[in-house]
Amino acid sequence: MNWLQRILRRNQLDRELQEELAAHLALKQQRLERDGVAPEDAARQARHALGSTVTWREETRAQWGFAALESLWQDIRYGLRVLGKDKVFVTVSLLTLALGIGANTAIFTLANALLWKPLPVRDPQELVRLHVTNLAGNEYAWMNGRTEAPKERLQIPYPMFAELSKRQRSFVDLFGVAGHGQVVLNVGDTAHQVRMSVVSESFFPTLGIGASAGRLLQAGDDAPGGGVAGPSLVISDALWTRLFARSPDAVGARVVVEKVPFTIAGVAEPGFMGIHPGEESEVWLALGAFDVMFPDWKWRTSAESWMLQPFGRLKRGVTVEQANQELSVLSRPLLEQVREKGLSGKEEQAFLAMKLEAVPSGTGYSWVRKRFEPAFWMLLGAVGALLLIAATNLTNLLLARATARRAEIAVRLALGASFGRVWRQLLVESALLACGGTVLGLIAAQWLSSGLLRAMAGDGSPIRLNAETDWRVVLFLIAVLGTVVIIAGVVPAWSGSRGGALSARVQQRESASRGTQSLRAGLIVVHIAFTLVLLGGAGLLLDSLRGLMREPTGFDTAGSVFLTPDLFNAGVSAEAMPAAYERIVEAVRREPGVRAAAWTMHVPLTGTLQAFTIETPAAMALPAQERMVFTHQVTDGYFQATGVPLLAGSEMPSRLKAAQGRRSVIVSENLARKFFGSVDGAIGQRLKPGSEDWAVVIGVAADAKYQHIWEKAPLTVYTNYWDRQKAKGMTLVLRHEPAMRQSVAAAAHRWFRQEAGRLPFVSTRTLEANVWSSLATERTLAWLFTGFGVFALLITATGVAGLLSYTVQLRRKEIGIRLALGATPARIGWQFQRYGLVLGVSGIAAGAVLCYWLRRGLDSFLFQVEASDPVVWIGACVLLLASAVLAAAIPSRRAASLDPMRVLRME
Amino acid sequence: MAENARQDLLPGTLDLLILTTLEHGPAKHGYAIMEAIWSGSGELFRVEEGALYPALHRLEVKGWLGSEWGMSEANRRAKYYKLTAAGRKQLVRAKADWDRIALGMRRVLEGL
Repeated sequence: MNWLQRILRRNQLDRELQEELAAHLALKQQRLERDGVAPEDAARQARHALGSTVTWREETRAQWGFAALESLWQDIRYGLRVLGKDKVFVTVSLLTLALGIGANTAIFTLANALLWKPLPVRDPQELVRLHVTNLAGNEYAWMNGRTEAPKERLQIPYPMFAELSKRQRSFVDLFGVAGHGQVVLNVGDTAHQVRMSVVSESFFPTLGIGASAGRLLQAGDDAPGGGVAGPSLVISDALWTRLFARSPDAVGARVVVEKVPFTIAGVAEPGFMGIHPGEESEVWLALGAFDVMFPDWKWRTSAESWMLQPFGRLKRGVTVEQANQELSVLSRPLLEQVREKGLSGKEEQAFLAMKLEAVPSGTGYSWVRKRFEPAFWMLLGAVGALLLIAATNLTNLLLARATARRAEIAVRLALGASFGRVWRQLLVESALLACGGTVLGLIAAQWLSSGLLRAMAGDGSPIRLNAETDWRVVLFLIAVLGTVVIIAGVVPAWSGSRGGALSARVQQRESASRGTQSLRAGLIVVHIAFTLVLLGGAGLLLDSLRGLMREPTGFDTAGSVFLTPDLFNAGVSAEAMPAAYERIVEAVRREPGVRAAAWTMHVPLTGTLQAFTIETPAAMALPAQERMVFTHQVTDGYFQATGVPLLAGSEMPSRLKAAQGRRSVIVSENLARKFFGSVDGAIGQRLKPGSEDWAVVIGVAADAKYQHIWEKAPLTVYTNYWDRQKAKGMTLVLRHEPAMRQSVAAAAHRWFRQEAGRLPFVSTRTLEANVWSSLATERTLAWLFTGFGVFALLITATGVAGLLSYTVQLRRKEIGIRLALGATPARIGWQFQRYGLVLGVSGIAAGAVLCYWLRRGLDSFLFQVEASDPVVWIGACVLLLASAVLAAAIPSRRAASLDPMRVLRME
Repeated sequence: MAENARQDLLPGTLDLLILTTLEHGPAKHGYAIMEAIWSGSGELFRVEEGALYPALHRLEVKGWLGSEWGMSEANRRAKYYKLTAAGRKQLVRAKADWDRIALGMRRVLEGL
């Protein structure tokens, strides 16, 4: 019979043991009777010799191997009963734990999905991405509103990619990704907005992704006009479900992407969302699609279009270092092929000195990751602190309970319970709390993580993550739980059983309790330290957020609305677009409630920005990077509609006037001062934006921020859309009477429908919303920290109050005697008040050390605020001290108001 | 008295005594094993029930003893224990161990 069978047959075994003992008793009695003992005496003697049947029956049962299990079950039932009696304690500890565990799980799950989870492809550890590094150092880019000098170029031109694929020996194969974005996909008559990636034909085979249906992209799809079946595309399993209800007819179906017909070749395997965590792809086009979508673009031969991000799969046994050795040899001949024209000798040397480099990329590549990684690390730190506070708070509560239960424990020990058993009972109780807290925490984590993703991304572009639980999350959860049980369970159990035993045996209650008390005081100092970190962080982030919200953008943010209609996909051809734009803006201007209207290429504060080098007669000597400016296409009425003041000169000419006159530009104030010396001096000057023709500066506008509130307003050239009439996908900006936004927008929608024949997709934005949404991450962090800080402050305050009332309770006798001997109640009260103050000050001192150590952590999130901002820190310290003093006030007053006679009589 | 009897036995010796008692002859029930040890030791070792039954069950769980139910002299069902093959091997091992301990003890004691 094995262990499991014995458990299952436990009742039968019990009966058999009973019977075995009964037989023993009978035999013994018989023997005694044979020896001449009277029957009644024999029965008594036999039973007597058997001793305490109960004890050794238990011992026998223990041999079966599951007594431990049975007594554990007993412990659990007893634990539940005991906990059920103390509802306040249970509620408080469950809530703290749920918050601690929930916040940790939520943040960790997201961080795992974004930062560490390998792609769901074959052998992700073999994947690398390639970039060009060792740049000359004269390139720079805007990232999230800050100017950065990039260390590498992520994309390479197609000819270089093709040649590299041919020559390399380190990789099984290479593939390239040519960017991704939102497009309109027409299935039949219905239009859907989907996220698309354009990839080389080697994408799916190299990743080792299989098809749910049909075939995936394959050799030949990169050819002009697509493969054998013409331009084809692959859809994701999720999109197959959403649009086609998993019908097999989807394969081979004709769909239209941005007005170009494609055939659906197949469906990628379930769970595959591309290799860019945070940016899910639903449709994959082959590079050949570019030929039909942009017939003028010579991407296949162009050395200037650095458009393809290369990835590769290393051959078995080839290390990244070996691959890099090969790449470093291959770099120069490959770069010579795509040499830029018009470089000076020195510049050309620098260009050819660039190196291709492979970087392990088993987790894919994602700008979402780059952008949010620092925020996630910070949040992980914050929730870690929160968990420590929650766990130590539970310790504190359990310690208080253990003290209160000393009598019960002493009785149990006296009745013969072993130390281990009492210990285990207390551990089981904390484990029960931990389990309850975990269940609640996991529920909380569900909505916390989805809410957090939404809040951090703002309305702009949703972050989509594959946030399924994997072994990392499970491991993390186990670690979290282990921390809680050990911190909250072992310490009180140890101190409880020890204190209990001592008081039971030696009556040294006071010394045992003093030990507990100093332990609890230590925990509270730790609480205060962590609370200071969280409160200080919250203060800095809030201050920074306030600064960002007040920071002028250069626009009159109230009273304008931005509407971006997708007229192209709704039926207006590229050729007819300028005329349609003109008719719409003219018509809208006549609508009631519209003060001004114009078309613009960029919607301010949504993150898009295009930079070109400009030329002016005087500035030709400046190096190229000094002449990089932001170029923006607008139409007449733009400055009135957005509320950017014109400082000199005039608005853009209308379409009619533009056709007759010279090309004209308007420049920003900072550009005018930099290149022309003054605002007025700029008017009438000549300027050449990028590869466009020379134009005349006709006006100077105030500086405005376009990408992010963080940035310094960029040097800006506004060109006139009517001069070239090339861009499509422009945005209509309307300045309207207050409270007429709805009717004005509805009117604009009517005109869009009129032009396109049907209502196009329109995305509507306002500057207030853009400002609000572009600060989503900062706001989320600030509020989370504030929430955590307040929570920590509450725990700390209740902790101080609890510890002090316990101390007062413990020292009643002493207080009574001192009062009887003539100490004033004020003096007694002050003594405890002072204790609260000492706790607060030591906690703040410990916290200051912690803060100094962590001082760099917040830097990248602070706008015009120093991490050492004295107002914030003094504020946080005052708040903490005030809470500690207030929390100490109640028990102190109780101590002062003790009646000495009653106390002494009771003791 | 009961404590003394238990303490008189070296740890592990009770198992050896039970196994030896069952080496020859028919299967025995707990009371008979107790008697056999009492008489076999020349009335030196009295094994208490509180030690005997846990030991019997332990040896059964280890697979050294087998058991079956039979009728006892007192006319009621009793559990009869006998050695299994594994029990016999264990008995040989335990006896050898015991001989070595006894020899060692004797040498040390006589050397003194």
